[in-house]
Amino acid sequence: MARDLAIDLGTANTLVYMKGRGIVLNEPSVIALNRQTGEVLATGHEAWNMIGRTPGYIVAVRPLRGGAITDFDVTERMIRLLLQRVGVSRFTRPKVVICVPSAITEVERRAVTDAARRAGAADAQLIEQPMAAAIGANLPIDEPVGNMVIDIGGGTSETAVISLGGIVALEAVRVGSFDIDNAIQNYVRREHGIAIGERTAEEIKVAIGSAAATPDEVEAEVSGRDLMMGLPKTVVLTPEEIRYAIDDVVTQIVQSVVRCLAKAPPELAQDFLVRGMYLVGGGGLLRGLADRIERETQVPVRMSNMPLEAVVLGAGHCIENYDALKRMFMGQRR
Amino acid sequence: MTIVLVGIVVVCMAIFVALAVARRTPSSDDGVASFRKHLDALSPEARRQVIDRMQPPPTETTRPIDPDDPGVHHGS
Repeated sequence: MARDLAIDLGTANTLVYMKGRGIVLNEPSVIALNRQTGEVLATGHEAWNMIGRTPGYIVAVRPLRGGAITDFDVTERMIRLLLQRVGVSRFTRPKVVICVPSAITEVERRAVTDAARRAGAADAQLIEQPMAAAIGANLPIDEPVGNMVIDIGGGTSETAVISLGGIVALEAVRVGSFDIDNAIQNYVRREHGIAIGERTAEEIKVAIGSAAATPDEVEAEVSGRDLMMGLPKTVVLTPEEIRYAIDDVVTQIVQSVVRCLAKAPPELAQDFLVRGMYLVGGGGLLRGLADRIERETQVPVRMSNMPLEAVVLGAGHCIENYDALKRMFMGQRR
Repeated sequence: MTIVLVGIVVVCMAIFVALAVARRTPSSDDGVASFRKHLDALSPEARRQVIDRMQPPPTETTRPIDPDDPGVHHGS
């Protein structure tokens, strides 16, 4: 008998929580395929290390973009392999709860549940990421008070106001930390005339990226391919440049938080001033982002103590209390 | 003969009870109980077991969330 599973099927990383066990898998959502035969060559960390460094016959891809499936077959195969790695076989078919962005369409929802069922799940239910994040961040969402959670993932950023176990206001944009990486890539290409890969762009973001000025900022040397000469070239980037490069993306995220605050009922608005907003997701780790949101909303912002795991832990709690929390699942609310 | 009649009566009663249960109009208490169960399952006590399975080592940038804490401003 398979243990039931909760899956955070993220654009950047996939986490799996097993009922009664906890988090059993945390890997990049990447799969490497043989372009000619379609054979799977690697998944997770191994495939992530191949991005941008593969020979012509291998392609390392992220089958999800903006939180939605862009390649159904590849996603199904990736989920199947992940389930196999946590012990699911054709004879043991678990119930699965999958976290998805609240902004995905009905067609995209169907694609996720179909992919999970075909990959070996007996039943697949979906839960909105901000709701799962609020549960996993241990916010008191069972009380009649306003809890605000900002979940910034690889492809989506979602802000939700939650009270009495339900979503009161929600705002989602299909912008996330991958868009920050893209903005850095474009800036370096445009202003310095060198091409860099997505992994290098991510490394720049982690090393010197920020949404607001922070103390002890340092410059970074970056190497890429000169677009004119085709030769390797190194340039020095400053934190101010990167802030300028990613400002459009950061502004979109901050504005979505402001819009969500504006949607919240006035009775709950005063709770935010006292309790603050909680930041979860890998994108929330961008330096200065909490400061920037706080400055523009005048509401305190706090970091969840498990920003990367909060979503899957929330879904894990739902799988542990499947019957009691059925109404949390998308399409099950009455 | 009597046994057969008793059997038929028992079967009819069982069918009647099953139909009555199936057609029962939900009372207002059902909604209250279901909602209470839902909120109880979301209480911090109910979540403790799951959260405790994944406690990261404390670092300078993370700390446990205390709902009564008036908030820490990240601004310098």
